[in-house]
Amino acid sequence: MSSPSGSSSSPRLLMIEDDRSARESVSAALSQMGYSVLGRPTGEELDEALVSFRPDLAIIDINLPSGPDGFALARHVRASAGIPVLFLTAADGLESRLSGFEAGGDDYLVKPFAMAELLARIRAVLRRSGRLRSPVLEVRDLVIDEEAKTAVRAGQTLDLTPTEYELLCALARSRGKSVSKAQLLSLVWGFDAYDPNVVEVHVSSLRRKMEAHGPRLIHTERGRGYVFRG
Amino acid sequence: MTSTRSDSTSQSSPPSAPTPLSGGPGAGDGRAVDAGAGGLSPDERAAPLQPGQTRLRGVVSGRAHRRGLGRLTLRQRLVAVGGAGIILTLVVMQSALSGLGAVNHDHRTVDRIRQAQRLHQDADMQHDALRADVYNTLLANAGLSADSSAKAFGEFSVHADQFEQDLAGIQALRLSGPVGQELARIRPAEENYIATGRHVAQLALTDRAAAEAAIAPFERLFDQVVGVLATATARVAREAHTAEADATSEVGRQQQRILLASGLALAGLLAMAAMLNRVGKRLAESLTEVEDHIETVVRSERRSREFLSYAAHQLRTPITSTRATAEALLLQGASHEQEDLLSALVQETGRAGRLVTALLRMARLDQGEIPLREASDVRQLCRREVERMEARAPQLRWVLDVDASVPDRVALSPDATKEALANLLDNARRHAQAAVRVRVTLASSGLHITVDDDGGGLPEAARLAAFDRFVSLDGHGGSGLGLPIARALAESQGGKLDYEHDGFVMTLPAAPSRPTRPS
Repeated sequence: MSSPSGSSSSPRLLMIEDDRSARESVSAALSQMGYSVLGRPTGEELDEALVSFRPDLAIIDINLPSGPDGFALARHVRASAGIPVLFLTAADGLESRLSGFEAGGDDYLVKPFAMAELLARIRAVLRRSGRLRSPVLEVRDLVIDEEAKTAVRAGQTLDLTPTEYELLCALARSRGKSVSKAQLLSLVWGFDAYDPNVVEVHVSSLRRKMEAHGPRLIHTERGRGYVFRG
Repeated sequence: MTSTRSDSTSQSSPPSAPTPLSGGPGAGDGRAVDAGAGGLSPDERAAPLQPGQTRLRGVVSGRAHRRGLGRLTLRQRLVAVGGAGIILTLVVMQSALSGLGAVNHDHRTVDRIRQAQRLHQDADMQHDALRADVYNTLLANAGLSADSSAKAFGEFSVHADQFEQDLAGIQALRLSGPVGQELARIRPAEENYIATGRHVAQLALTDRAAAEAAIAPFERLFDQVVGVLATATARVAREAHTAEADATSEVGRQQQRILLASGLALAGLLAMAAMLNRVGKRLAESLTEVEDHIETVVRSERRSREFLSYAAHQLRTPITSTRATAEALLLQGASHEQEDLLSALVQETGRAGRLVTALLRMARLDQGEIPLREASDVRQLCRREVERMEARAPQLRWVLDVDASVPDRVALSPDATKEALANLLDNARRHAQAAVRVRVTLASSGLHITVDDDGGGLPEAARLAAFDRFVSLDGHGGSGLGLPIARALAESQGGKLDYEHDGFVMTLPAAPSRPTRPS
């Protein structure tokens, strides 16, 4: 549906998850968001995958039923490929979280999670490791700096709430394409809020702040949602 | 990490302290007790475990006590002594009651004797009167009296009737004692005297000469009956006196018996009290048994919690897959109808996910997980949570007041506080009409974070139940775990959470974090 960074080549994600439906569904959603994803059920032939696929980030499930566990794989991935690791875990005890960081995990996410949360973690880890090719999104006179989490229009820094900022990013990343309210609920709110009016309220206040400095960029598409056109 | 944990465990247990769940033989296997305690300092671990230790020590000592007594015999003894005491008391009371009946009976007898005595005295008087009447009739017939002979004879009849009535009255009393026998004995003589008197009086009315001839034997009979009557009178008086004295002494005897009965009953009661004392001890032992039982229940509850934890754990991956699939389809772009269905699916899996997370959270808190405390910016923490909730429910007015007295940094667990506050805010969001207010103040009791909304407030009756697990009071979509988790999170930091007046008040210990260097 969009490119995660706005650059031509999309980031590559290696996903090691033993549960087939979890692996495939999460891969599908990530592909939908413009990532290239390679899914593997175990750590077998990991070196081959690291060489041929050249991932920017490894997403590893900690509890793997066979072969080396997620921590061991993470240590190997970091040592041999030097890429960041994001753990997925069904165990959220304090100890396994800490062990995850000791094993070189850059972040962890406890199942079940909202796709918005996974996407935010992936972007954050990629950004921190300098693998997000362009952390700055420029559309006309609007500059979104994902590093600094700021939006500047016509030289003026917009005073946005965190939600408004996320909403702006979600729309800007999909520029030129219409985005439905349900899609925004998924991408920005993680469906934590159920009421589509929530989207309208925030779009309207975001527009007000942006249009104080220039023409409308977020347009309403009747019956379909919103589109960011610059 | 592992080595740190075992170090802290050994340091935090003084050698004399009883080990939880291993105090008695077979008293549990000690699993799960130390779970979730990893990476904590000895100080943090020591305090909250203490209540549990005390309880377990009580169980252990109670058990040893029970072994030394043999509870079954005691129960039998209790039944025997208690039963005997009750029966004895009943027997004594019964005897006292029958004694009272006897006293009553004696009194009735004395009354009858007195009545017979009176009737006998009256008969004695009639006896004299009859003689006078016989002579009056005779004198009237001879013309020596002012009255007519018929009138004099009438007088005789009245007195004779009275005499007979007295005798019938005595007979009707049916006295069986010496008085009854004596009066029965003299009765033929009296009847004979009346009959003879009547014969002489009738003769005096008709045949003066025959009457004058009959008067001498009548006179003899009179003298004879006088003696009989006098003897009987004396005897009856004596017997009446004796009977009265007997009755009085019987009252005394019964008084003594009642006193004795009361004494015995008192002794029985004392025995019962002594037994009750034993029963008290037995109760204490039963209590120990109950405690043992509770321990068993706790263990089985722990098992079911472990099961719950396992089940919740197993649900996580399928929920993740379902949700990711629905979100992938949604992000792909779908028709309106499909989008509605997918939205519903994502929401429901989200709900299931939150429930699973809450269940596991609760299980971990139950295991006594103690969150790490660190110097935290309370203002920012509260602001972020309120903003996060505001983004979800912008239709409500969210107000955050942080009092100036609140220090910049407070030693607390930011994660636990954040989660507890989020649960309180989510609860308020579901009940508010138009506004939710969060106040942060500092009091002597600690840091207060108060969340109230302009909804109906919590009814008095629901204030306790609101903190029970799986109690969702409103049908507003709560899992029934938000408030119990928030309370457990507050308590895990040494704080508390209550409903006061019109809002939820979370109190956290507010030792301001020590600055690393003076500024």
